Formats: sequence, structure tokens, C-alpha cells
Amino acid sequence: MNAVPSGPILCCEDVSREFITERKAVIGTPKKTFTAVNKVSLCIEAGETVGIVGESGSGKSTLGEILGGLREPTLGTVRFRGVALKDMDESQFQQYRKNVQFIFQDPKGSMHPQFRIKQIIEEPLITLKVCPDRAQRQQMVKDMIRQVGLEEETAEKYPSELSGGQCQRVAIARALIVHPKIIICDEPVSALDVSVQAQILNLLKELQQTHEIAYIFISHDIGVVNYMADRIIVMNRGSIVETGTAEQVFHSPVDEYTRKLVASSFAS
Amino acid sequence: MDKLIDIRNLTIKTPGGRVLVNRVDLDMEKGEILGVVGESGCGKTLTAKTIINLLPENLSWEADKFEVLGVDYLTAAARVKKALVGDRIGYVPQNTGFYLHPMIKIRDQIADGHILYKKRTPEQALDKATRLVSAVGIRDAPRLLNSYPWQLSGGMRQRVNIAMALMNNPALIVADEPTTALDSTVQKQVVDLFRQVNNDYNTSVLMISHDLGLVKYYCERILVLYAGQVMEEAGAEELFEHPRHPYTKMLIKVIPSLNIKKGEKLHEIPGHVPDLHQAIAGCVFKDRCSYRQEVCGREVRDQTIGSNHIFRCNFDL
Amino acid sequence: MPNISFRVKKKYHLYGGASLTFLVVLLCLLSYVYMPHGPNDMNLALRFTSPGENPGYILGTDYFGRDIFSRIIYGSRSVLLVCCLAVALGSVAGTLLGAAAAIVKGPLSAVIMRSIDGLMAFPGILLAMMMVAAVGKGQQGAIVAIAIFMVPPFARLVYSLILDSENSLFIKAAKSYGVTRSRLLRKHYLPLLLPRLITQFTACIGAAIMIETSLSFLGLGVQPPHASWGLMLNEARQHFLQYPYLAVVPGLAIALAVLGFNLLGDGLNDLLMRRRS
Repeated sequence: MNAVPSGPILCCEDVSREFITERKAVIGTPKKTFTAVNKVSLCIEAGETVGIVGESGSGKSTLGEILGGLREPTLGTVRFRGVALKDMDESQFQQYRKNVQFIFQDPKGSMHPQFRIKQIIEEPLITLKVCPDRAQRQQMVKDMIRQVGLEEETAEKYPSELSGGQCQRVAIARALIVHPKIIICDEPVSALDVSVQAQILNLLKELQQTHEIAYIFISHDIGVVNYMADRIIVMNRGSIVETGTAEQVFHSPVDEYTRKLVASSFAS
Repeated sequence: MDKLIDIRNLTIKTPGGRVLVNRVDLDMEKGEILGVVGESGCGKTLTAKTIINLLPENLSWEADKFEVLGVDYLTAAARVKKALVGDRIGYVPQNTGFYLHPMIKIRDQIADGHILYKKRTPEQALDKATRLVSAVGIRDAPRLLNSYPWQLSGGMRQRVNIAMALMNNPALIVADEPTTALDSTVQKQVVDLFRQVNNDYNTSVLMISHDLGLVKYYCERILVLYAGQVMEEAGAEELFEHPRHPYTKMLIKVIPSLNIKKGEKLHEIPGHVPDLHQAIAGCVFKDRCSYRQEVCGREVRDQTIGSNHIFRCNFDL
Repeated sequence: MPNISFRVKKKYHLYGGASLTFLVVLLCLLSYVYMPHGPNDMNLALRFTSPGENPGYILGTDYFGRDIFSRIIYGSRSVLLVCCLAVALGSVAGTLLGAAAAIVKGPLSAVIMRSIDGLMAFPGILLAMMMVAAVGKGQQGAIVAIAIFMVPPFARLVYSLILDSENSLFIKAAKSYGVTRSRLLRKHYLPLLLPRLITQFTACIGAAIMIETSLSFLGLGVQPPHASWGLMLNEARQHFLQYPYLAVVPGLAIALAVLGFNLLGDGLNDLLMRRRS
């Protein structure tokens, strides 16, 4: 292991992202560009969970994609261990890719329908060149399947044969197998049934303790975010409107919008 | 006519013989708000679709009794059922977009059912539509009526759907996950709107949802479905204060509340929703139940407490 | 889920198409093993024998007294070999071009797709004739002509399918763990495209048979005295008022072969597409 510099692992400084739209978003107000994320700065320390709450269109998913390198910001920089993504060379970028993983909202949709579960989990090991040895990779996949609480036979199945909760476990295994420092969870439980939601949340928490991962936990459900996150960021129309600990933000919100959000939740 | 809906032993099957809804009883009184909660695949949407006579054609249903607003679905002609649904039942769908034709202005589609069933002129209908659209909280009604569905936000479209469902002064509104596609701040407004409609017009609302928090806040009586069967039925307060069925008990606990303490572990229900390919003997929840006994694999019974608290379990814990 | 009768009907497409296709393949194989007479053997004593008149010549003989049945068997070779080879070449080229255009994007994509649009603007047979003029008459000319003709449908199909699935979540997920473009194409897109490509391939062979026979009818494909169905049709032209069977037999062969491949394509489409949904 090379020496890891202390301080935040992942940072973004004043990032903005605009989308060009020609259609009218609201009646009568023609818009040409739409600012999904507006000058957002954010740092993630090792092992912590940052919750991003907001409604659809608040830019929370776009922010997640920018932090994860899936979208380029129109303005601003994203830094991984102090190095801006733009200035990275090939191997540094690969390190960044390896250390920042994703879990998406729709677990089935995030897996190739014609791949077997073992292929799905194995693929990041190949593409990120973590482990060149085939037998060793298969062993790692096997271990991972067990760790996320799936049965061994699952390895041979296709995503369509699994339930939503099982698929989300596979997605977690795929993210975890390359030992990332950060996992960006974009609404990881909102497509799941209520009765399996808790299983996935608890699994994520357990894995965080054993593997020391930081989560960026994006959700519209403040109950879920409150349970998962240490630090919370409330987003509205692309900007951060409030930050603080879960306690502060949800029990004594300062911002008008946060108050509205908390009041409209049924999770009390 | 005392009961608005009276369904006994509704069973819905696929051509392959999979039982998707298994002997469900459902009754509703006039002016009531009834919530049907359950997870995906529990049969809540299919039950609602049978009531509005829109069950997918490849599924078949049977029941001992199936009366909606005095019409017996078991004997009534297709035409009568269709007229009943068009005239006296309003339907609010989950997906706000698919229910409106994207290329037709709101004003030209909102009143269709009204003109057809109430024999009004388009002018009269439009007049009523304008009033209703204002009543559901849209400030600039004429402007809204002149727009196309794609120009509106999801919340706006859902308001249009509700106004549309109200056009014929229905006795019953069937709302299938009406707020799932909406943002939480809008969600509450829409739900309040249903309550207001219930208050103002004494319209009964059958509300289908997966969100326990929502039905708790809003329904008077709740039916909990699981794997095609009714697990528990009780008044909202009673259900949340004194749940009897292990499934309901656990379901209430698994939702993370804002009052959860740091470091506390969330309760979870092990396993996953059963696959309905084969008939399940005994209790359908037994595989995930922590109170499971041997008897649960063989049989399960319905118990009644008080006047209207029913639950399907062998024990009373 | 479609209702039962619909399903059964569609299965007939598959079976009907498969058996007709099989018949053509069988004829082609037969030409290497056995033919009642040499396809170019003339028997001037037996000119214009009607089908059934002489048990040695089941489908009759033509102007030169050549056995029509043997010529049909022999002609299936050029139909099958020329068409399969041409469509194979065309589909590979088309797939690569379409995939390149969809994945690389930018100006290269525009250049590729616009040239393909341009190619499609030419009437098929005119294009084929131009190709033959450039490459030369005969089988090679026909193969090149048909192959080029088959590039646009494959390129467009692949291009649009990749653009369609590009926004799916699993492709986004794949990018999130650093899948390279070539791996994305090989491992992710190709399995998705394969059923559509197989379907398109089969259907295109039907179209290719039409072009091949048209070319040889015009005298630009297989050269006399070799037998080919289009050529037989052309030779029948002068006498078919008196001896209609001369045109009917090769015409029927062409029609059945095209029908067979088209039905098979249809049936495969139904089979493979349903399996995916």
C-alpha cells in the first residue's frame, strides 16, 4: 500500500453543469439552458457518509455523476486525492476509477441482461486490471457473493432471474470487489420493496465498517438519508441550500426549503 | 345500497394458472377513504384494475360476490360495466404522463368522458373543467387548458388527472399509486387534494400505495396485502398502534424514521417476496416470519378482534 | 403476452421459412453430389420436352435440350454462394461502419452516416450495375455489387441500436468501472445486437437473391453457358409464349427461395425478440 495522504479523498470545487434544452420546462417559460448543478463545492473524507437530499431536478444525481467522473462539469474541478481529474495521466485516472464506484437506483437496469451474475461481478476486476489471474478472480467473485449475503448458486444466474433486492446485492458486490475508497449510491433503495429496503441499508452500513468505505448517499427519502448519513447536504435547483449533521438538518432546519422538505415527509 | 364496494373471495389468475390475487375480500362504505398497501407483486394494482374493469385481457378473475356501486360484475353486461366505470368511477393513474394523450391539448381531452356520459355540449363541459381545474389548485386555469401534457410538470399533470377523474362527480375514485411519481413536497399537496375532494363532494377514495407513511397519514381504514392475500385489515390508527400480523408489525419497523438514534440498527425482514409460480401451502409469510411454527406450513386462519380488525395468522402475539 | 393463436401463426413463419431455406441448401449440396444430367449437356434431339413428358427429364428441357431440373440444381449454387458471401461481406462491413459511427461520434460519424445515406439514395439495380461495370461481369462482380448494396441496412441498424442502448443504465455502469470502447463493443453491444443482426442477415439474403437473379437476368452476373436462375429466365424470354414452363420453373424457384429466407427472417425475429423480452 502506498502512503495515503490525509485529508479529503474526493473534492469538487465550484462545479457547475448546464444542459442545453429547447423544450419548455414549466408553462410559458421557454428555456434554452438549464443549470442542473450550480457552483457546488463538497469534500468527502475517508470512511464517512455524505447524504445528498433533494427532489427530482435538484441536481443531486448529476452531482453524483460529476463526482464519479461520468459527466464532465461545465465549470469547476473535481479532485481525487488532491489531483484534478483533468490533469490526471492514464494510471492516475485508472486509480481514480478503481477507487470511486457506483451503485444505481435500478439494480436490474444497471446490469447487462445477457451476462451471468459472476461475469457482472468479475468485470470491474478485468477492466480496472486489478487482478490478471483468472482463477484468482473467480475466487474473489465467490467471496464477494458470500459477503453480500447471496447464495453461491446465484453466480450462474442472469439478472432477470433475481429479485430487485438480490440484484442490488449483486450491484454492491460489483462495486465492492475492487476495494474502492468511495461508493456513490444513487437512490440505491428507492426502486426496492419496503421489506427489503432495510436489508440493503443494513448491508451497506455493515460493509462500510468492515471495508472503511466512504459513501455519497443520494436519495429523495429523508428518512433513509437520516439513517445512513453523518453529514447532509440539501440541494434545491442545483445549489446547496443547507449542510450540517443529520441531527441539525432534519431536526432544526434553517433553510426555508429544507423545512418544507422535512414537513412534507411522512417519515416522522 | 349501503356498501359502495362489496367483493368476496376475489381470485385473479394467469392463463398458466398462477394465482396473483388469492381470495381477497374488500368492502367500502360511502364516503370512506380506504388504503390498500403492499409491495410490488402483492396484487394491489390488479385488484384496482378489476374494479375499474381494466384487467389485462390475458388474466381471468372470479369471485363469490363482486358488486361495485350496486352493479354486480358477475352478471352485468360488458356495456353496463363500461358505462359504470366511465360515468361514476374516477381513476387516477400512477404514471401521470401515459394517461394523457401527448399531442392533444388538455382542453380537448379533459372533458371527453363528461360529454359522452353526461350528454353535455363541449362548452358546458369546458366550463366545468375550468372550475374543477381551479378547484384542484391550478391558478391560471385557461392557460393550463390550452397547453399540451408534455408542457406540464408531473405534479401539474397529476392535478389534471384528478380534475379529469372528478368531471362526472364520481361516487368513487380509484387512485393507483397517485403520488409515487411525484416529488415529496408535491406529493403532500396532491394527497391533501384527495382529502379535500373527499370532504367537499363526499367522494369515496380507494387508494393503492406501497407507502405506509402515506396511507397512515391519510386513510381511514387500511388493507395490507402480501403475495396476493389480505394479511391484515383495520382502522388506520388501530393498525399502526396495535398491529397484529407479524408482517404488518415488521413493515412498520423497517421504515427508517427521523427519530432513529445514531448507531441503532434498522429492523429488517429477512428473505424476499415469494414467487407465485407455485401455490403456497399455509401462510404465505411463513418463510420470512420470526414467529413461525410448524402449523404455519399447513394452514393459516383468519382472526377477528373487535368489530373490524381482521388478520390472517395462526397466533395472536 | 400475445394470445395463443398469434403465437402459433408466427411459428409457421419459422417452420415454413426454415424448410424452404433448407430445400435451397439441399439443392446446392446436391449439385456437388448428383445431377441427373450435366447442366450444360445439350441433347438437341430432345429440345423443348415438356415437364413430365420424358421420365429422364422431370422438369423438361430447353431450347438446347438441356435438362431444366439439373440447371435449377446447379443454379442454386450461384444463388446461395453469391448471396451468402455477399451478405456476409456486406454485414460485416456495415456493422463495423455503423458501430464506429455510433461509438466514435463527432465528424467521423457524420461522414460515415452521410455517405451511407448517399449510397441508399441510388436505386439498387443501378448501383449494382455500376459496381459490375467497375469490377467486371461474372460472379465476383455480382458479389461485390451485392455486398456494397448490403452495407447501408446493416450500418444503419447497428448505428441506431447502439445509440438506443447507449443511454441504458448498464452501459453507464460499465463506463463507471472503466470498460474500454472496444470491450464495450465486443462484450456489451454485440450480444445485444446479435439477434437483430441474425434476423437482418436472413432477410437480406432474400433481397440479395432478387438482386443476383436480376443481375444475371440482365446478363451481368453468371455468364452463359453456366446455369443460373436469372439467366434461365432470360433465355426463356424468347420462347415462353409457346413453352411457358421455361419461365415458370426458374421463376418459381426464385420466388420460393426469396419467400423462404424472408419467412425465416420473420420467424427468427419473432423467436429471438420474444426471448429477450
